[in-house]
Amino acid sequence: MTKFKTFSLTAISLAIFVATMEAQAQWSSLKPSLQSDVQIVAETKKRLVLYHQSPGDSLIFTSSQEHDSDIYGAFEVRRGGNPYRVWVATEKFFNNPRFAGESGKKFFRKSFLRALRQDEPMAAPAPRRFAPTTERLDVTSAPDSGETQIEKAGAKKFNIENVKTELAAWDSLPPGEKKDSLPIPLNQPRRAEQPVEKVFAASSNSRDARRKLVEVKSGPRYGKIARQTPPRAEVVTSYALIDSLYQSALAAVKKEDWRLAAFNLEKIQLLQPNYREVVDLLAQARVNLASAGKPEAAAEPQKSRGAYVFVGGAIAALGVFIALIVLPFIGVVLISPTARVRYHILRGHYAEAAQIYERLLARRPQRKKFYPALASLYLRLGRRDEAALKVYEIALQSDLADRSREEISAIVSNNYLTKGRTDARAIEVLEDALKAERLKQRKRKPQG
Amino acid sequence: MKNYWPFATRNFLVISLLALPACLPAQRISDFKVGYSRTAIREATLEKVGSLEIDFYRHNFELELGVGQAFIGLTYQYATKKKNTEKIGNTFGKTEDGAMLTAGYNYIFSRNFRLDGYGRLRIAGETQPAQALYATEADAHLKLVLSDADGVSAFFNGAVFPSTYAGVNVNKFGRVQGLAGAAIWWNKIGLSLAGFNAFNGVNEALNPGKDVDKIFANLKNSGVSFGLTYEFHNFMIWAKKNFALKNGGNDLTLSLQYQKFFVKRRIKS
Repeated sequence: MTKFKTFSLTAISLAIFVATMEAQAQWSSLKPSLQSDVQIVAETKKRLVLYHQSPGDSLIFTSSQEHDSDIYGAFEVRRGGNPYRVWVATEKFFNNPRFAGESGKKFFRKSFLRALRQDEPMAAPAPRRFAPTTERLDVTSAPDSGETQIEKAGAKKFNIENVKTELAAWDSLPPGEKKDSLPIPLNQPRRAEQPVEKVFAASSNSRDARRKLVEVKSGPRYGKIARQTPPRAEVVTSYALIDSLYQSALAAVKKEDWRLAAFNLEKIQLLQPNYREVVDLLAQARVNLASAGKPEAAAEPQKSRGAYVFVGGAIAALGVFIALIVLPFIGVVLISPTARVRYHILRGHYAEAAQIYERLLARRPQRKKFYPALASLYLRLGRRDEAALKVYEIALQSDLADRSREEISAIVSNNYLTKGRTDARAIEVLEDALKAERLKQRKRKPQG
Repeated sequence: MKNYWPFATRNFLVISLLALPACLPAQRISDFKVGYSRTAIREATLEKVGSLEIDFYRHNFELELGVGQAFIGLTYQYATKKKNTEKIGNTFGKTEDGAMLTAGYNYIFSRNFRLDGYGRLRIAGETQPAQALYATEADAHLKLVLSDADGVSAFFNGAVFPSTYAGVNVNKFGRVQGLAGAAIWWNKIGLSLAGFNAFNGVNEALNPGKDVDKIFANLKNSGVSFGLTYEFHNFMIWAKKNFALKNGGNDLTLSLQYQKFFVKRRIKS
């Protein structure tokens, strides 16, 4: 019955655990850390968008690292423990005066900021190509089909399908209403430095990327773009063209035709600065264009780094093996008295070996198994003193190798005869010695 | 009165000085843990005998050095019984100590699964496995743990972190124990429930058959245990109550651990 209860309890615990596995709580641990005036404008399984009126900008949390994450989720593992989630702030977050430092407190409580991890510095890679385009575009062009999306008032998800639908609806409006009901906030505030930082974050150690970004940052167009806000009417008239250019640019990015992509995106920039992801995509296209020219050079440092990692890993594995297996074994051998005795015997240091047994027996005289070994050592040392004779006597009562038994028996019996002992024990030993002597003689006869 | 401390201290120092630092350069050590636990066994349950009042105490001092997900350590165990008592259990065993080398590895499959393996190796100790106060062990443990890195938000405002595991223990006498358990962690407090059951071994302590020389190390035992933990800074207080179902002790363990992590390993989600 008790067994039944045990297994029932375990089964129930397991069932509760499995049933609640889907109730993902990554945002639950985060929400208590938000300041009261922070609004959650969008919440999905993979993404949480926060808004604070005072900094006047949104903050994007993603459950894993993505190109537009301000803060993303990762897992830490500790020995002996389960993996747990931590939040990692990207360079984008730390470099933004609206978020980092004291301003971060507008969004989060101190405890959260203290626990916030910094993005690990990227290991010196070659100027790499961006992640597969489809992967990157999925973020903006395809809604997450599997997730439960909780869109709150004021939040709007911009993707290609939405844009098309809204444009069609907008086109059908009477001309008078069109002006005041633009389908997309074309002039939504967007920080000009953001795309630069994104690219920088993606390849912060790449000289090429740095050079390109410096060019982008210092170029006349960048500054101009960042400040331009053209009149709405002009934008509206060219919207169809912009959209077609944008679609064409996206298709080129998908095909990794960076030249065509850059060309189309440049055009869009001229017509409608800061249009959707154009600045970002343009920077991406430029970096990829630059890196496409020298793929071998780019691959080389990675390869050599890989070799170093392999060698380092092999050394680490060897170190762990030595740590876990070899040295504990050596440690055991070093502290094992039997092993030390064997070592001394191998080197012919019988006295040292005997001393080890003497010390052990002094501490624990009841350990009978050491006496035969000690007696053998005394035999080799030729000892006949009183202490040795006591050891011989006790050893004779234990299992002894035949040859040692004969010799020890002879020594002890001689001692008894010398002392004139006639007690039962002495007689027993003498008889043994006599038997051994007869056996010896019988063996010798056939030879003689 | 015999003094066991010099022997144990020497073992501890020799292993600490020779084995551990020599093979673990400081840069590779990612954490260290020290712990003390005290187990009081006031009652034992034996098959076909029933409950016995006893007075056994075990003190464990543990040291572990972590290298990433692996560790190597040493456990010194000192077991005793209360003197001048006439309880039945006092006819077994005597004051004894021993030391064990420990080592283990924690493999993370994903954010949900990890495999935890560790072993203990008796390197010193005088207690005979036939005595009830058998102080040291040589065994291996393996368990698969299922957990979720994000936890669940079913009951509280903050997340709670449930986990469950199943595993197996094998000791040097070949006794195999199956174990399963579940735990829940919330806001530095952890609760756990576990059960274990030996599949082989000595069924009746009074009728050990050919296993007379290793009865208590090889007892076919089973039981359930409830645990409670509390964490603060790098410390953890741990209490565990064990209830024997078939053979074994009804014991209470109190433990204090300190674990300092120098390196935290991050995996991408």
